[in-house]
Amino acid sequence: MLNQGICKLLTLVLVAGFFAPGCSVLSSRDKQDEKQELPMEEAPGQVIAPDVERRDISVPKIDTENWEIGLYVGVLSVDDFGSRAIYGVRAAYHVSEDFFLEGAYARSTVEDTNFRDIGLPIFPNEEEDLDFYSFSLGYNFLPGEVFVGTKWAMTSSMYFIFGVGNTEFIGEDDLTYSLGFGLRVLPRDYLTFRIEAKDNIFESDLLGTNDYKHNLEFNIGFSVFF
Amino acid sequence: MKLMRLACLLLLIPLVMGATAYQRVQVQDPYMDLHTGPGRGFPAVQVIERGEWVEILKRKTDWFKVRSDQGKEGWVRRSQMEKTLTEAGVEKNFRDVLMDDYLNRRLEMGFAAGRFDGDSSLTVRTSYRFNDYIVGELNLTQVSGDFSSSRIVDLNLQIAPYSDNRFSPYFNLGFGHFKNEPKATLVNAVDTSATTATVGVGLRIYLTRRFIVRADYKDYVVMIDADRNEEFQQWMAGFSFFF
Repeated sequence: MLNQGICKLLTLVLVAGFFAPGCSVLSSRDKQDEKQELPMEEAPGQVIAPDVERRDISVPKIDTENWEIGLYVGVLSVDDFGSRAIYGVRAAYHVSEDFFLEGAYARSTVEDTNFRDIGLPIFPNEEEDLDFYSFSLGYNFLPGEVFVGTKWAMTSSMYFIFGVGNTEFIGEDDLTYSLGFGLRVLPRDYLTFRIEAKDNIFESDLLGTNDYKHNLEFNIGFSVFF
Repeated sequence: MKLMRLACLLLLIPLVMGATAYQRVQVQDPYMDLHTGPGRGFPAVQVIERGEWVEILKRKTDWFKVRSDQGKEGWVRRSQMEKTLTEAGVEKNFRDVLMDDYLNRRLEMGFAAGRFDGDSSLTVRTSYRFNDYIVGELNLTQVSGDFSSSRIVDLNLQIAPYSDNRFSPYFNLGFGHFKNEPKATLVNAVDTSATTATVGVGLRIYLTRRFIVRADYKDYVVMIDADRNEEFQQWMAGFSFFF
């Protein structure tokens, strides 16, 4: 039994001794020499060089343009507190050809000049800032084209828009519902011009009694699709 | 000045993005209708015959703008684009947004309107779905009351046990910050700022395409100071959409 074990061990040592010179650690110098010799010889068996034209299989991505971002300017008439310019930004996501979702933020001013004239100031200052934001659902209808002159046709569409948002002035927040409609004209596929009319409705008790205030807004703007 | 710069930047985006190669497909329908705009209401004014090749310029919702080798341009509906062959000679799969996309969604955005302790509230929310059952959500709520207005920012964790269903109820746990400002017309009123904890239930209903309808009921505990907690109930309903 002991002899058999010694025999096995000896065989193992012999085998190891036989293969060890082939190990990369031991024969690094030999390999370097081989590498230097290789370029002198031709690769065996390569008679005809393959001349295959490979087709480009990387497919370009399709550019999707469902987002729209833009600026607008207009006139906001706040019930009892004058009509002033309104400036806003909006971003929309077009869910389908019919519906889009839109978020908007705008700034304007309100004035209590009429009340000051009769000696009843309502605001701390005659002119106060107004902040407005809303989230809306829009529906496109009456798609068509707008023709300018004889050579220029632009696709267009009317839309209804319904939104829920907030109007804030002199530290008072009012939940605001917006109802409106507009016309969207596209001179380019990525560029949009819009004309919009909206009624922003909120409840307010600034003048004593709680009342629904209708604040009409008219604006024009442009936006880009990306 | 800043607005002008932003406007210039916005106008530049499409110009930069325009310099790309286009994907080409071969028409397999007898005719491919080219509409003037991306919608079913726009008239089809040109056709491209079977066998011709078109380049796909862009996509808006379910419509593709293509250009033929002869230079005809127009918008094609998705159902017709599906009957084309790619350069590799196989049918191109122009996928619709389906239930599968809804089930694999990650990011969801939406808004909701409702009542918070009897006052009207408006909430904007963004949620991220970590896996089949767990959703994280950030809510921004504005409450417009008769006497005061409040803003709540809260972070929520939702557990949705039946998320593979069209109707998916969920449990909601959250914490956040509550800020209340009395109306300027009130005298001797003070602002309140406090931490909130939220528990609630809700329901997601997958409507169609990218739309989800959601309804929520939430119970807020507002920890005003060491001696005083206030409890408010909120319910809301709204739309969300996913990417």
